[in-house]
Amino acid sequence: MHSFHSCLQLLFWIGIAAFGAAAAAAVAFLFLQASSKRASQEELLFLHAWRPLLLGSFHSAMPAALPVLERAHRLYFLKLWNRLMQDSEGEAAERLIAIAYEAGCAPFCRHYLRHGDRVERLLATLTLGRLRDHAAWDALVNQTMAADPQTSLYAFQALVRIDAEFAAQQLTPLMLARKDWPVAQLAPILQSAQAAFMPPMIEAAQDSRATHMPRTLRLIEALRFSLPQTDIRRLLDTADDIEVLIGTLRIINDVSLLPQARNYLKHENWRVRVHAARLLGRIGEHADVNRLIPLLADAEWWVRYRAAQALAGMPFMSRAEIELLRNNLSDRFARDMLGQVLAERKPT
Amino acid sequence: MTPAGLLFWGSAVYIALAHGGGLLLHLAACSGLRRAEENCALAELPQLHSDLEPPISLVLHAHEDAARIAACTGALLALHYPMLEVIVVNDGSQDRTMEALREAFELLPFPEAYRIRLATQPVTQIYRSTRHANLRVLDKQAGGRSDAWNAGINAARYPLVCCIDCDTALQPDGLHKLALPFLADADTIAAAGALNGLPHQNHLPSRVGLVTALRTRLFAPLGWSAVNALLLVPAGMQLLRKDAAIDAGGYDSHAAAADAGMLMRLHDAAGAQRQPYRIAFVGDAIGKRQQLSPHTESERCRAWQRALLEGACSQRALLWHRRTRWPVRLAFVYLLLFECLGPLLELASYAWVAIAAAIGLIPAQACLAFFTFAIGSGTLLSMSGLLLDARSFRQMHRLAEPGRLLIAALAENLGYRQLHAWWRAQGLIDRLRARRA
Repeated sequence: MHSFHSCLQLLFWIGIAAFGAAAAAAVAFLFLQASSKRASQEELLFLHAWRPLLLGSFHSAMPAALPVLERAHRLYFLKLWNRLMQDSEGEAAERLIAIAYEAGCAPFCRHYLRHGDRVERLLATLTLGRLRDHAAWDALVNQTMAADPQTSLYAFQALVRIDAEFAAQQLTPLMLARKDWPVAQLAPILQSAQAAFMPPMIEAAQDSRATHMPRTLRLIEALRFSLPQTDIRRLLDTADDIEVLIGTLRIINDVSLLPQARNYLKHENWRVRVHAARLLGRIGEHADVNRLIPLLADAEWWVRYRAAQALAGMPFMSRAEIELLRNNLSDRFARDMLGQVLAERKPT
Repeated sequence: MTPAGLLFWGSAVYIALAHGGGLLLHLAACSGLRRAEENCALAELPQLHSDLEPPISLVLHAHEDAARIAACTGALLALHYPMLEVIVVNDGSQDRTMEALREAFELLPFPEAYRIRLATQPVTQIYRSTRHANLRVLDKQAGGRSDAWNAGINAARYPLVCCIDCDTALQPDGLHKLALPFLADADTIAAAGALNGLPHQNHLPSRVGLVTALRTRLFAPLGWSAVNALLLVPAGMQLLRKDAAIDAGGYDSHAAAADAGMLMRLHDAAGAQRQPYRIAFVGDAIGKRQQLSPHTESERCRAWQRALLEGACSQRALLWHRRTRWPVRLAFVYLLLFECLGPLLELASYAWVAIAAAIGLIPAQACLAFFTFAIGSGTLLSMSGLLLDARSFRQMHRLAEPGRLLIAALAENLGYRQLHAWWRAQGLIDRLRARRA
């Protein structure tokens, strides 16, 4: 009985402690809300003073005198400045860069890069890239090694903006190795520096021991680089990885490679057959029509679909010829697929 | 100890586990919250988007939706995403849904080589828009929402599918946010996102609903996703890898709420393949659920509870399959004990303690201790939800004044939660009765 009552007391006091903890959480909540409101008001005041100045530089010369950028307003400045830089080019961008230098951005961004929290580091990284600040090169290179993909990718972007040639020489192996940098996000960074990245990426594709070949080939395709014929032949001959094979078929643009590529129309993996069919659709010859027809009866829907698209897309095949071909097909699946593709191509 | 005493302590332990589990989920969610807080600060900055994001097929279920189907479809076609197709599935509507679509999008019959990978009611005709090359309409016999979504998955051309209905309005960048986990991790098979479901009205019940939604729809899923054991997202939406959805057998055509059991089915199917996989949760709001259904909150609660029980029953094998990962098994046990049976057990606990004290089976002091503990720990749970939100997504910040939110968090535990438990218990009983019948 005594222990029952002690346990009851314990339960009661745990409940009271929970109320106490809830009250503490409520106070913390109010504090956070108040500080967030204060920060928003402070940012509004900052924007009221600085936005007209920065916007004014879009159309006219540098303002005669800039107000002092307070320490507490630095992050607001970086956010505003980066937003405006996104939409500016030419002389307007140069004037914004000059304003940022005059406001003392470069030194405090370099400081943020080394000692700031993640938000400060990311804003500083973006800014230093746009300022083309060579002095921050080493710190930014260190940042590309960061485990966080966003921080490291933004550092890579900054380095490409500062010196694309040097970044390409120094960082191409890292870029190909970092699988956590999505190709979809890398491509827009590299698009502005295609000339710089073409030689090292082609060199990387020529290295038969490369462990990141599928990724390299995807980037080569995204940037529309051309790989020499000999390298493509070697890749087709030696590739035992399906992804490499598919990546290679996707970048072929040379008809002289067709004889080798045609062998893959009968590959055991249906994804390889899909890409071989697509390739013939892009650069195939008249003789390839008869090679594509059997694929219309393939067991895999996607192979039938791409073969039908390839046939319908060949410049020397008229609509009447495709319809005639469809009427002569004995396989119902092949006929249906060709019918679908013809309907898709009907002008809308 | 007397049987009454045993029941009393059983009730107290149950409440402690339920509220303690909720607090642990909030703690687990903290790992992802710092990133959310930082992303809030960086949200206005330019994002790295290209045209290489994975293409998405949006499958829109339409049933007796003549009045709004054209506007819904138009809104989906206007979303900002590089490669997107919209497949509207007219699920045997008897009203003018099909005519409305024909008129708005100039549809023509399309001889598609439709392949059946998930069994559905027959598709009678497929149409293609002459105005939007990326819009197709499937006209099929009525089979319910799951059946319609499965038909849409059959017709989908792209590797990611997102199944929605006309009640869901996506934010312009909602699909970008949902697709990010697929870019970041190639093992991702699904990403679920939170929808802002409650229209905010400036009265106490509405604010209390917001506080509850924070806990159940945002931080609990975030907590489970931290250990890759996300089993369901109440009032959320899902972006699925098409091949994974097909491997899982698609949506359960017999389930009343199609999406309630989908993540469980994915866990089961992916576990069977013994390959690494990830089901991610996106905490940022990606859209909102429009409250167009005429149901009252009590009806919605009952319906959700029925769907939950149905989903859990159909995937009960997760409990004993050897292939089930232990965090998933733990999440499933939590789901059964605290979500499916929770309302009934919670109500029974409250009722038992009150009645037992009234008739003298336990001392009044025990009743006071129990309710102090239950309401205190419940209030802590509600406050911690508000605190986490203030540190991360700041959804409440825009909706109500802080003082009023605090009152709502307190009020939640002084009747609202118990009322919810009552409605949900009714849903549970409905479901059990239907099963017996």
